[in-house]
Amino acid sequence: MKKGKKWLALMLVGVMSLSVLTGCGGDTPQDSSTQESTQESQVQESSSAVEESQAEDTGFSYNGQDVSKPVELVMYYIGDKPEDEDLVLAEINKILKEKINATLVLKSISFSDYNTKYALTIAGGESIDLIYTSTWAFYQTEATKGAFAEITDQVINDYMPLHKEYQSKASWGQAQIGGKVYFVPNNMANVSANAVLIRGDLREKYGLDKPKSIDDLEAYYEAVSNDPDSGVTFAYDASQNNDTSKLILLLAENNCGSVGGAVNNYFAYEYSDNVTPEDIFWIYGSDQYLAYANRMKTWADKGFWSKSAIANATDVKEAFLNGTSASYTQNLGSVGAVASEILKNHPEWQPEVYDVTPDADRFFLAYTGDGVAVLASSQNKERACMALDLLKFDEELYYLLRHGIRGVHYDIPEPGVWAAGEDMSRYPFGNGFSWGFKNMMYNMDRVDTFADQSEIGAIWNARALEGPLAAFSFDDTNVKNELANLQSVYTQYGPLLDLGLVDKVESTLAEFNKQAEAAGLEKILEEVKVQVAAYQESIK
Amino acid sequence: MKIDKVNKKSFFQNFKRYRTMLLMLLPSVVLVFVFSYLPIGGLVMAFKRFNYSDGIWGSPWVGWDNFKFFLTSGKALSVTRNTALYNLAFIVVNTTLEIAFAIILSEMAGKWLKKITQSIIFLPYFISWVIVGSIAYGLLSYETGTLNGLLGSMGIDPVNFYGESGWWPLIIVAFSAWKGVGYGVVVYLAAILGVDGSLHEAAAIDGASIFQRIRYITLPGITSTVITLTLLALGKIFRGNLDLFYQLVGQNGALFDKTDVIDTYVFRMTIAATDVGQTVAIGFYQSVLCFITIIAANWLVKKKDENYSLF
Amino acid sequence: MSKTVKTAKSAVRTRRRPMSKDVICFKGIGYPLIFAAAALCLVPFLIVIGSSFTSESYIIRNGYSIWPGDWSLESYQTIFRSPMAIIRAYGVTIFVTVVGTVLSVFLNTMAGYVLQRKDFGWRNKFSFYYFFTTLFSGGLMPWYMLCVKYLHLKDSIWSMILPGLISVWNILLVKGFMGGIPYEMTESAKIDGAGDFSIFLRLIWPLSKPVVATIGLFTALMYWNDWYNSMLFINNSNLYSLQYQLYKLINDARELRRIAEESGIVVDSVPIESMKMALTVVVTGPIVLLYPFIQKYFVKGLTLGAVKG
Repeated sequence: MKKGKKWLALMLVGVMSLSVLTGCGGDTPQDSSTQESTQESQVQESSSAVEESQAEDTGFSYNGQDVSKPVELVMYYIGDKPEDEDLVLAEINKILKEKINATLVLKSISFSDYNTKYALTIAGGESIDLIYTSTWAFYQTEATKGAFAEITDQVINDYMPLHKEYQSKASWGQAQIGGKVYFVPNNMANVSANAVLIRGDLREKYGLDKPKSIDDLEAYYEAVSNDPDSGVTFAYDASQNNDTSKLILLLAENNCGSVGGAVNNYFAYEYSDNVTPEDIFWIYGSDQYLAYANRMKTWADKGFWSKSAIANATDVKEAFLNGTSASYTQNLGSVGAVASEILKNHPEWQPEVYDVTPDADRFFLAYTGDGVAVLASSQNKERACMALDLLKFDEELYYLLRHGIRGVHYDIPEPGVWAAGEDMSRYPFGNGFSWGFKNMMYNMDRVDTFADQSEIGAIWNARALEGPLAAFSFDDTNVKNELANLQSVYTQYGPLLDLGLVDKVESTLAEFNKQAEAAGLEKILEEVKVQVAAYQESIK
Repeated sequence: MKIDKVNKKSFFQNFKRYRTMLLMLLPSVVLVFVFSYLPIGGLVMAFKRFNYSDGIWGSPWVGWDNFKFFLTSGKALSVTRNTALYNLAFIVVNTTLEIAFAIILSEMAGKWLKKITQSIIFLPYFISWVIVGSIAYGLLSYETGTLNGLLGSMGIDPVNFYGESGWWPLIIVAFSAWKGVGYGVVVYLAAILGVDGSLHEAAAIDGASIFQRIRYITLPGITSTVITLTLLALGKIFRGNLDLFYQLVGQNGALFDKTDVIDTYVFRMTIAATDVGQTVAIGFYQSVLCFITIIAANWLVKKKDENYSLF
Repeated sequence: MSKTVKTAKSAVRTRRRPMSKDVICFKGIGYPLIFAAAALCLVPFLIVIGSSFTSESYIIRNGYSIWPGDWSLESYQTIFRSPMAIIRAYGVTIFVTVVGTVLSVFLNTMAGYVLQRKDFGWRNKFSFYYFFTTLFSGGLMPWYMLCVKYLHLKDSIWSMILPGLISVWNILLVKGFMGGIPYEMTESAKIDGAGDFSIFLRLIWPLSKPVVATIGLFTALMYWNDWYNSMLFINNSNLYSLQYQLYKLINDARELRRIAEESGIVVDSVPIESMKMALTVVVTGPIVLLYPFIQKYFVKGLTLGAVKG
C-alpha cells in the first residue's frame, strides 16, 4: 500500500534526523589523553632561578614565566555548589587575572555521586586542568592510570615558588607513588585522634567522676544500661561497625598506630623511638586484639548496644542528638561540634568531651588527606600550577576561597579567630572547593569552639609528634589479589568481632585468622615489611 | 506451519522480499548497535591493565590476571552457586505468585475492586531498596523490631534475625517477591486478557468448572508468555541484584554464608581499591555463564516447540 | 457480528447465576490470598506516607510508623523550599517520559512485530542479534565514554531519552504476544495486497492493545523514575530529572550538615529520613493518581482483543 510506505519513510526519516541532531557519529574524537603523556609536565620556557613573585606583578610574568596569554582554567572539586560561589569566584578571578592572567571556572562532582563519577569525569575527555584528589578520593587508582601530571622539582621551581618556600617538606614524601609525586597535598597537619562525648547530666545522676580511663567509661555505660529511666535507648548506639571507638579502645589504649595505605585496617605497630619493620604486626592475631574483642563481647552482652547493631543504619551522631544514645565517639572536631549543638538545643544534657586514653602518644595526620592534582591531559599545565600556588599561599585568595567575602560570610573579631557571618550559609566554611588548599599558615580558630574541644586540642597539639611512618603509604600492586581476598575475609569477621556480636570470641577469632592466612596474609605482611624498610632507608 | 520450506531463495532475493520488514527493523538495529554493540569493545579491558594515555586499545595485555582475585578466593564457587540458586528461587516463586494473582484478578467481579487491588499490589515497585532496607530493620531488629514484639506478646522468645543466617534465604525471597510480583502481574494479566473470551464462554456453557477453565483455556493461552519471560529471566541467572542484597544484608558478616552472591562479594572485595579491569572481568565471567545457560535453555525449548523459543 | 458477541457476553455476565461450588471454592481461597497480598503491599506504603509527615527526631527515636507520632511538614517544606527547581524537574521528566515512551513503544512494537512474522526467514538471527546485547556488556566506562566523547550527549536532554529507547525485553515480550495472533490474518491481508508496514499499523497494532499498554506502562515508569542518566550526564541544574533533583536535595542537605559539623559549626539539622519518604511520595504521587485512568486501556484491550473477524 503506497500510503503505508510513505508513512514509514517519513517516520524513519524523523527518527534518523533525531539521531543526527544529537550528534551521532561522524565526529573524529579528540582523544586528548593519548596526546599527552605523564612525563610531559615540563614546559619549553626556560627557568630562571627567581625566588620572589608575590608582591609586584605586572600580570605578564609570574616567577619569571611569561603569562601574556590569557587562559581559562577548569577545576573540578568534590562537593556541591554553594549559593554564593559565583560571587566569591568573581573576586578570586579579579586577583588571578591581575597576577597570572588566568580565569578560573569551577565545576563540581556531588559528594553522593563521586564514587561512580570521579573516574568517569576524567575518562570522559572534557577539558579539565585541576581536580581535587586525595588518598580517599582515588589518588592512587587514578595516578596509576596516568591521569595526573607529575609534579617534579623542576615544576615546583618554575611555577610554584611559594610552595617551594612554604609547603611542608614531609608532605611531598607522603604524596609519592613509586618515587614520583602526582598531586599537591594540603599544607595542614592536624592531630588525628578520637574523643568521647557523653551526657554530663547522666554522669552526675549516677555520681560518677569524670572518666579518665576506659574502665571509667565502662562504669558510665554500665550505669546507663542498668537504669531503666535513663531516657536513652542504648549507652552507645553503635551502627554497623565499631571503627571509631576501636581507634580509642584498641589502638590508643595500647599506644599503637596503623600502617598507612590500603592496609590501614590490618597492620599496626607499637610506638617507640625506634620503630623497625619487625614491629609491624597483624592486628587480629595479637593478644591486644583478643583482650579487646573479649571486652567488646562483655559490653555487648551487657546491652550497651543493640544485638542488631550490625544492621543499624542510623548514624550514632543522630542517635546522640536525638537522645537515643548516651555517648558519641568521633574525631575531636566533630565531637566538639555536636557538643556545641547540644548546648544550643538541650543544655540540660550537659555535654562533656573526654580523652579516655590521656597517656597515649599523639601524632599528626597525613598531608595527603586533601590535595589538588593537575591533569595530564590539561592544555595549560603551567598556568594551572601557578594558580594552585596562589590559591594556597596568597593570603587574600586563601581567605576568599576558604571563608568567603569578609563582612558577608565571615568576620574576624580578633586576630587568629573567625566568626560566622550573617550569610555564612550561602558560602559555608569548609566547602568542597577549599578542601584541596587547606593551609596551616592562614588557619584561624573559630570563635566559640566548644570549651572541652579547645582544651583537649591544645594539649594534643602541644604533645604531637611526627609519626615514624607518617609519610609511608603502601603500594598494593604486588599483592592486589591477596588484598582483595583479605578484604573480603575482614568484612566478614571484623565488624562482628569489633561489636562483640559473636557467640564464642576465641573460636570465631581463630576461624578469622585461619581464613586470613589462606587469603595470603603472610605474603602481604612480608610485602609491607619490605616496603617499610625501603622507606626508612630512603628518609635516612 | 512450514513456510520456510519454500525459502530456498538466494540472499538477494530474500533481501528484496524482506525489504519493508528490514526497514522497519532499521532504527532499532542502529540504536542497539550504537548503544550496546559499540561499547562491547570495552570487554577487552578484562584482559588489560588500563591506563589513560594508552587508552582502551593501547593498554598492555595481562591475560587472566584480572580474574585471579576472584577465582583464587576459595569462595568463587559458592557465591556463583548462591547467585544461581537465588535467581531460580525468584523465578519460580515470583512466576507462580504472578500467575496466581493474575488469574484471580481476571476472574474477580467488580470493576473498581479489581483496579484498586491491582494498583495496590503494584505499589512496592515504587519504594526504593534503601527504604525497604530501613523498613526491614524496623521489622527484624532484636530489641525494637515489630516481629519480635509480636512474638513477645505471644510468649515466644525473640529471634536474632540479624545474627543468624538460617532465616535469610526465606527473607530475601519474600522481599523480592513482595517488591516484584506487582510488575509481573501486569504482564500476565495482559496475557490472560489476550486469551479469546469466547472460549471461556463456550466452556462455561458446556458446564466446565472454573478450575477446568483455568487449566485448559487460560493456562495454555498464556504458555508462550510464561516461557518468554522465564527464558528472559534465565538470561540473567548469574547476575545478582546488588541493590536488593546490599540494602537488606549490608555488611553483616554473620549472614554472608547464606546470602553472598557474586555481585555483593566482588563489591566488598574491591570497595577499597576499585580496579576497572577487575570489574569488567567479573562482568565477563557472569556474561559467559549466562550465555551458556540461555543457549542451552533456548535449544531445549526449541526442540519442544519452535514458536516458543527466543531465537 | 462483533456487536452481537459483545451483547451476548454482557448478557451472560449480568444474568444472576447462583455461584456454583467450584467458584465458591476458587473465590474462597483466591480472594483472601490476594487481599492479604494487597494488605502486605499497602501497609509499607502507608508507612512511607505517614513517615513523610513525621518529625525527624520522632523517627530516630521510635522508628517508622503508619500514623505520624509527631506531625510535621518539615520534610515537604525542605523539598519545596525552592519550588522552581522542583517544577522545572517535573517539566523535564514529563517531557522525557512522553517523548521517550512514544518513540520507544513505537520502535519496540515494530521490531517485535517483524520478529514474530513466521515468513521472515531471518527472524531468529535478528532475535539473537538483539538478545546478545543483554548478555554481554563492556561495562560502564566504555559506554560512558561513547556517550560523552563521541555522541556529545553531556548536558543534553537526549541523554536521558536515547540510551533507553530500545528495550530488548520489551521487544521479545511483544514478539511473544503478537505471535499469538493467528498468522492467517496476516496472510489474507497480504493476499489483499497490503504492505508489511500497514499490516502492522492497521491490523496487528489495534489487536495488541494489552501488550502495547503493558510495555507503554513499563517504559513510562522507567523514564519517570530514572535518575541514573541524569546523574551521569547532566551538570546543568535546569535539566535534572525529578528523581535526581530530589535525590540531590537530600544529599546536598546531608553534605552541608557534614561539612558544617567538621568545621565545628552548628547548622540546623536536616530531616533526612523523613525526606527520603517524602521523596517517594512526591515522585510516585502523580503516577498513583494517574494509574486508574490508564487502566481502562487494559480493559479496552480485552474487548477488542477478544473480537475475531
